[in-house]
Amino acid sequence: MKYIFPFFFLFLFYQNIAAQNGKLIARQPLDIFLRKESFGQNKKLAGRISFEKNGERFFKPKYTYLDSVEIEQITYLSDGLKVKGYLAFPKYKKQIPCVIYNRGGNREFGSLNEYKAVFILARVASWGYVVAASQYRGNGGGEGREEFGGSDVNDVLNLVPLLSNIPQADTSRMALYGWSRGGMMTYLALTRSCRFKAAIVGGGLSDLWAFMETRQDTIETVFANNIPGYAMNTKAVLNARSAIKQVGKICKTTPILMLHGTADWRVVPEMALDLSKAFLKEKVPHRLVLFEGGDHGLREFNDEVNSMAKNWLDKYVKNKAPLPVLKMHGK
Amino acid sequence: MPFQKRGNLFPLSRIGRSPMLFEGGDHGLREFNAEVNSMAKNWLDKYVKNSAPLPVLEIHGK
Repeated sequence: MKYIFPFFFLFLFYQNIAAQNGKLIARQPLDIFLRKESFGQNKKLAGRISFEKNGERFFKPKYTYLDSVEIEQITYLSDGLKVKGYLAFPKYKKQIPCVIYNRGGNREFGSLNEYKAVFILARVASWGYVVAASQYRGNGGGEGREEFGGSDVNDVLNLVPLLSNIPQADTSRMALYGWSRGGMMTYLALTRSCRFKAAIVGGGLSDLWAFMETRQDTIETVFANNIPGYAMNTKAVLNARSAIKQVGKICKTTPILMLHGTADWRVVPEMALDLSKAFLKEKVPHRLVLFEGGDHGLREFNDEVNSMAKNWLDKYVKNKAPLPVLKMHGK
Repeated sequence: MPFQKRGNLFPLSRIGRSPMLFEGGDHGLREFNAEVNSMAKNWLDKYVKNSAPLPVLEIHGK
């Protein structure tokens, strides 16, 4: 009997934490440099995206989409931690679908910043989506410590309740979009939720064993520094983070667009081929595109990548196309 | 089998084109007719009509 009360309070404590998941506790508009009085906050970025004429600044033609969107730096709650991230959304107020963008890298390497907010998040938002992105716990000034695909996957999934509190966001139509390590986060989120109507993974990390074998730099240090229990429980923690080992758990109602460069040294393209083969066997709907001579960021194919990503989101999320028929068919 | 050796099964360094799998596509890719035509045209225009240089297949990039 004496143990009931502590358990009860512990239950209430965790229930309270869960209820707070995704609660927005701070929103700070990111000034995107056009207004003359703010020009100078980031001159390098401003110079890249805008030009001056008759004392006024205008976006260059390639970046005029920035006229139509708002960007905010946010702080939200995830498992009781204050986690940092970004929101980007069109200025118009009608209900639109959502994209959760998953950044690559680890800790501060590859973290979201003004550049990524402008060149990636705002661009996707300009296609007619509310975009939310996490730095993952412990990064960018957030609380906690990142786990490279451990409990920080909750920081991705906790953007769902965050979005559901934004009136503009239609959370019945949501997608995931991740690059590199963000691809790993996307696959892991798909092992835990079938709420997403589509996913896009670029240069996706899907096999941490292969990652370690093919990288001659400090990847093992990244694992050791970030993954709890790595030294003692290597096999379990790497398998748990490798989509290739979790294929059976990946949602079969979320079509995945896989994009990868054949000259990618950071995440070898064989990972995408191996995963695609496993997806074929397990009937996970996906489209695989390998770009000839493409690097990790597919920089040579920027326009094609954006076009493919937009078409994928529009087809399966915005316009709710039916799932592809994966059973053998045709004449 | 070590990954480097396994990689030989997919000699990507010798592939000069983009492998692509269409989700749920049949033998004739009939469901993707417009996309297939668009890709074929772009491919021909890029490498034949406009003589784009061969892609750099050695690993590169930041």
